[in-house]
Amino acid sequence: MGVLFTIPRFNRRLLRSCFPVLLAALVLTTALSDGAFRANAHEEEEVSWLVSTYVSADLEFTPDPSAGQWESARMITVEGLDEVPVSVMSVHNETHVLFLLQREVNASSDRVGVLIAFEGAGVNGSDAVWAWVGGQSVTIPTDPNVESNAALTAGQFVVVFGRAFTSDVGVSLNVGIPYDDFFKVASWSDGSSLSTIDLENLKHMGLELLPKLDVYPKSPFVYSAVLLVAAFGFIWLESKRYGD
Amino acid sequence: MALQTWIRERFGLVALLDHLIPSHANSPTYVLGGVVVVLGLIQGITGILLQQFYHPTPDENAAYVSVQFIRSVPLWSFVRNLHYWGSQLIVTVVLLHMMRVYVSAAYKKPREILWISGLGLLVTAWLLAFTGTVLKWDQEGVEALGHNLELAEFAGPLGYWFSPEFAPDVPILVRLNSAHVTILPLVAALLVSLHVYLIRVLGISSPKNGRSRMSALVPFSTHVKKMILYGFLAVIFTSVLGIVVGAPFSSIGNPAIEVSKPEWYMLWIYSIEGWFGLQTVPYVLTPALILMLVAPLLDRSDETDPRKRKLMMALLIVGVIAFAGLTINAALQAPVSHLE
Repeated sequence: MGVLFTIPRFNRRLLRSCFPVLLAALVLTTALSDGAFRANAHEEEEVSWLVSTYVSADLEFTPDPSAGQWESARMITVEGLDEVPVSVMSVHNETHVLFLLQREVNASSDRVGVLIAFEGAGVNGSDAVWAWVGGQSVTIPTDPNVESNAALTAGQFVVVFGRAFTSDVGVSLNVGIPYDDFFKVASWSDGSSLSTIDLENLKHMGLELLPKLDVYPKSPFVYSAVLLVAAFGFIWLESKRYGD
Repeated sequence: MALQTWIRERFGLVALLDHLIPSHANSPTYVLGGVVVVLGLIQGITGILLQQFYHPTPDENAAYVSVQFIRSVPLWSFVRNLHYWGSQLIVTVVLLHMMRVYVSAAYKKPREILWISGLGLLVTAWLLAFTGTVLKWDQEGVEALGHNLELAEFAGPLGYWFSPEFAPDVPILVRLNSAHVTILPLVAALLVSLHVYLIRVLGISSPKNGRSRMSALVPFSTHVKKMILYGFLAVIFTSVLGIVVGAPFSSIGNPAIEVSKPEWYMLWIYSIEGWFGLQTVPYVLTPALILMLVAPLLDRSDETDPRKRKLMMALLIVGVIAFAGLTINAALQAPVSHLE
């Protein structure tokens, strides 16, 4: 048994000195092999996805991106029709969904238009549209359940749209379903009317209303505490076996 | 009693159960390995039950739908919860067991292979838990698979088996399922067999020059009884968790988004991903594993008293604090995208 498990002295030294070299060689091999075995690398058309995050509170229909409900929201950016970027965020509370759109404006607010169009959710397969145009809310088809609000502050135009998940008209939403190619966003600042906006040529994006994902947020703290206490506990217990 | 004697004689258990071990081996901290064995058996049974209803194909989200069905039947939902909490407990107890072994210097000559097989079991338990996460085929599972694929691509030849290119006509979910239910359990069984054999041959470690050297010797059967007792308590614990707290299951996996965080035992890696990118993970994981692997080479003296092995204890404390720190850091952060 002794022969089996005893490494000769020469080999021990050899192993010791070789260890950093072996480690470096392994790391280097891994680094250099990057891409070497990519047999079928594929490129997919980039599709933007808007993730609507879950918020465990009543949603506020105020056009204020600094409000607490938007803290966990993820933002995507879409180029407006006038090439001004529009940021889009969404949150939901499992019954209502809220969209916030924000962009820079150098014109009066009544010349600004912002819309969200839901693919094929309108009448006879047309798009359902929630818009803020000329200082007022417009929905196509008319959806009295959509709430909206807008504000122009320090050159930033912010619109918020909100509604219950389901409605007698327009789009219906569910949590946890990936809606592929589902919605479009447009924005302009030249005073155009809604009817002149070409919805067909807007970029399609996906939408997913996420459920609450981090089910047990406290578990990492519990397990970490267990391991920390155990490390010190084992040292203490094993030390006790040797007396003073 | 007659039955017990019959079993002991017919299965040759006398040599196995009646050999003497130091009494300290029956203290709770020395029975953790046995608890893992009991929990592993429960995992096997619950896993076999779940396989009867699990459909391991991604087509039309069949895997996801089958888990939904399992969740819809109270009995199978409980079995799934038990399987999940069992896996959490196994990873935890394996880590605790390895820490105890490390502190008591039970990796030292002639027990180096015991230590290495234990490390192998830790990695196997980790891989079982990881593949189990993917099998759910929910958002967390699909994201875990995304990390698997990207790391496989990065690892080149080492990650070839984990890439879809290895068998283009077979969905990788099917192969991960086979890994989860056949390859990895087989590896675990072989490693456990080797581990148990070596414990029987080399004996349970004792502190050199410690009080326990003088402690009484007791039959190994007393150790088996403790294993069953603590294992049974662990099973009750997981059963209570299984009844009270469900196993996580989120929405249908959407590979286009990255919104979830991994289980706690992988959160430390998540922190590193967040700071330096996914491709740095092998550079941290590999040295960490190698460092654990060579612990018997780094600490070769005859000394087993932790108070006189200050460097090794310092390494342990630093390692555990780093693990906990990185884990908590990741837990406090909002999920971010790491995949390209």
